[in-house]
Amino acid sequence: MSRLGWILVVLVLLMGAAGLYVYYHVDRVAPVPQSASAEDHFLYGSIGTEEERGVPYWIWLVLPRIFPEYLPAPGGYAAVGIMAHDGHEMPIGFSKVEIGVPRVGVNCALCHTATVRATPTDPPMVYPGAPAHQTGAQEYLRFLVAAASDARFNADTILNEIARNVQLSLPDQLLYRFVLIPQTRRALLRLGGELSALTGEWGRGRTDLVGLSTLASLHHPAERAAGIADAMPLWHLQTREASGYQWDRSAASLRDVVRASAVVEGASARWMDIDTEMWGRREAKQPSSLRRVMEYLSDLKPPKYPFAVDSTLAAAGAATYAATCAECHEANGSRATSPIPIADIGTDRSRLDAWTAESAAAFNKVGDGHNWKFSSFGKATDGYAAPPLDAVWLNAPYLHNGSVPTLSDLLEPPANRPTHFWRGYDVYDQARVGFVSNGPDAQRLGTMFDATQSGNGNGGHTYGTTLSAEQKRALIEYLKTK
Amino acid sequence: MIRRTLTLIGLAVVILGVLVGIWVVVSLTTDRPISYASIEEHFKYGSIGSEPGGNLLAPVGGALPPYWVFKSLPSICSDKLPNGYATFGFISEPGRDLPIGISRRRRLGLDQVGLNCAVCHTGTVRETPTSAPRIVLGMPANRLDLQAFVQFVTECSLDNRLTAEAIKGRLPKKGGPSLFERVLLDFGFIERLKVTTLNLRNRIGPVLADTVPRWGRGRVDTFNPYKSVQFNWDLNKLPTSELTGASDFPSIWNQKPREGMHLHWDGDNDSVDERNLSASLGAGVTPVTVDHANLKRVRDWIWTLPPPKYPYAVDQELASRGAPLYQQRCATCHADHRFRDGVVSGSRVGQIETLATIGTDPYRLNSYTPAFASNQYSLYPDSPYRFSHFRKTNGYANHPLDGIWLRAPYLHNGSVPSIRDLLEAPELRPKVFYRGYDVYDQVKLGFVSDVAAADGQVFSRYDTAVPGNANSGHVYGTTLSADDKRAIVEYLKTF
Repeated sequence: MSRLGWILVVLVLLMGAAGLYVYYHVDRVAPVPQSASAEDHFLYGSIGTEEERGVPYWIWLVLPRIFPEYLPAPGGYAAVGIMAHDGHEMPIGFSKVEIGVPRVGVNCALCHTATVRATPTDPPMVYPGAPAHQTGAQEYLRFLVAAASDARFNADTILNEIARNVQLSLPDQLLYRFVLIPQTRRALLRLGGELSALTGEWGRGRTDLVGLSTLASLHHPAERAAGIADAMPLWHLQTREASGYQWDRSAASLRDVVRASAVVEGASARWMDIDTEMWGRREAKQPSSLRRVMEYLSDLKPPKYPFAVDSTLAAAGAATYAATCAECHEANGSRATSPIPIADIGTDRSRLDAWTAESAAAFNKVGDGHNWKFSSFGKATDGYAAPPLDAVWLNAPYLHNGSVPTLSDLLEPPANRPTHFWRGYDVYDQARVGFVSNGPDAQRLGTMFDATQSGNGNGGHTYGTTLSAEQKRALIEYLKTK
Repeated sequence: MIRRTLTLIGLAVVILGVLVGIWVVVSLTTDRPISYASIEEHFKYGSIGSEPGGNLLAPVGGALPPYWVFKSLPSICSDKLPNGYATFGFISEPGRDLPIGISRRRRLGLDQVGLNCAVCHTGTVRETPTSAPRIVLGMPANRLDLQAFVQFVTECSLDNRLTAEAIKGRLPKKGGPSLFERVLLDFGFIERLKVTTLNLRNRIGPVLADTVPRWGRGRVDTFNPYKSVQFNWDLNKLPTSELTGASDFPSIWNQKPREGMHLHWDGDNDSVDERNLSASLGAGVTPVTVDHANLKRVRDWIWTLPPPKYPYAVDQELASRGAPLYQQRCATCHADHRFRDGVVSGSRVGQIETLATIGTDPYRLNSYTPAFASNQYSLYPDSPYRFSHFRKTNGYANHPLDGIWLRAPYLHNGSVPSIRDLLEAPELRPKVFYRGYDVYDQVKLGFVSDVAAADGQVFSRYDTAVPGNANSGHVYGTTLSADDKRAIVEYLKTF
């Protein structure tokens, strides 16, 4: 062979090696070891969101240290309620898996695990499956987008900060410099563009799930009303199949709800295909991750109220509960299985209006051509669910839009309910039953809720508001035992 | 002919270039601590990797400027420090170039200095104002004002009088810096140092400022500087109450029987090794610059380092009368004199008492937050050392009392000067006293605390009315008779 020929062969081989290196480190999905315990799988396991919506771990780690000014307070991700507990490397709701390089994604626990403290000096207690009243999902996304929009989101700055934590190999440094950092930046800026279509402040513990679903199904930003609502508690899920899921009962199949939540959170279609493939193969080395999550939630029990209960007073409240609340909130109540019409319940209707028959039709098409195609999403209702009140103490703030901070406030006529309070602080208010929603710490660590804003109305659900003060006290005490 | 000459010149230039290149690369990549065969010397002067490292253009870690600058600072800023580093309570041994606690290591082509374990865990004690101080390794650095030291180093590094010329003028004729360092001095090295120092000051400024109560001698705020240095939290945005976290340096001897107990004042960690690594971060190491091997030498030594015996007279009869009183009142939480031999007696030793139970000052506890723990779990990432043992607690831990005579002042915040004072009801304990004098008070069991200055040293005035300084709580034994208290004090001398 001629000299030129040899040079060409060597060049082709070198390029092939470089290409293989990049593929191996950018695209290859390594087997994901699943946590031994179902709870850890729920809290830290992967639901496939790392590949498209995720961020390479080392970049994710250093962003809060480079851009602390884009977080509301000192504390890194913890400043928006995203916290690691009990020695775990990743915060609750965050997964870390190898897709060429370690990448970070989010999972169900981000919006469905609560922390509670008895006093400001107590360590937090963690309640998997409870509404994550402390999570600032929108603040987290906005942080990532703000960082990507800053000129300092560049290879020099990010690699220098990474170098304070780990010694990356030279090929890895080149990979981050020329591929991963620019790629991540582009992806986050694209995400920012998509999210800009979602109007409205979520604040802590709330999500515009309707808006996110619309983004997932329609892909183009549309002018639309926000459908912001609290996350729902996830215990006793199996028993709810009959009455449907979501605040407006618009979803009929638990399996579809779990899969749809993963898709809306950013699970890639490729990952969904594999996970669905594994759904029935329970003996496989890597069974379906979502099935494991679903089964964990189906068995999850509502956590008991961890503070003192006056049992005499609670017993006195049982009768009031039976007379005032049970019809809608007890599983065997006459109005428990179907949504309460909006005309009756009178709560804020934005969430209901946001999800339309067209939204449902579009969303049912998201999985077209895939083995996980949806069919069960509908627009069946004209009202809101009256969910069972198991562990209702953990559902604070109350009503679907989280517009009422405590049970005591909910038993007041709407005109007497607070119009401004702070969400996200996890110290529990045992007197009013809900989280502490005022005071310097709640203000410093939480987000303000303004009930006068569109979608945030705190009217309606006037049941029990005319009870005597003594009856209310007893009823609230009884509700602690639920 | 000409062509041959040109070729030769070209060759010479290439060879020279390669040699210079090799010289630069070797200079920059050399990482060589000064080594000590003796473990005591290693503890006092050896490097745990707290000198800046990584990359010359973006160095990581370290709290001090390079050796030649560090040596020059006291004379450059002599108005701020007329008596040299000894002013801050550093201990210097005769014939030694650097004080105890300062290590030296070649990194990034420079002679660097760093802090090691001994800086906060070596102190002195003496019988009378005229006797010679005895240096005790592993005891709390009772004389050190770390806050004032860091403040001086940052201020002087930023002082306009610190220039390349000022450094050059102070270099010795013989044994000065390497050629490489001299070249660096001429090429923007001082400017770069000032930028690094400014970054550090911007981060930790709020805990050096007067808005936060002074740490004073023998105390450190462990976690607040860490929040900014490791995680770049903006300390200005934290409440002043959270920034008030000063507490006493602890002793570090006899670690073996402590493994698994709740360590740190608030008991936030139960692994000696992880606690050691965490403390090293405070000295200036980072996960990439730490010298695990050298740190392990220290760890293995303090594992079984015996607490120093009380060197003065003990009334054995009185002490044996104190033993049963101690067993009744103290042993459940603090173990007894046999702890020095590894005997852990007492069901609550190393456990945490809630703040409500113990009633001591809350500030140190509250300076450690769940958000901070959450951040700590990402330290030493991707390694077997990753932090996983830290926990937010709701009280203070019960520590064993081995070598307690040297651990004065008492309580986590050092708010009570002596054991005898601790056995008084809080309202009868001294309200204002001085810290930093190393003359021992054998009657009260503690250091002499009513002297404001001596031997050219100005001691730290400790005011228990200042936030974080409360001397309340821990009322155990306060209702005993004066005789019983004397007996317990005597018994504690045998620990």
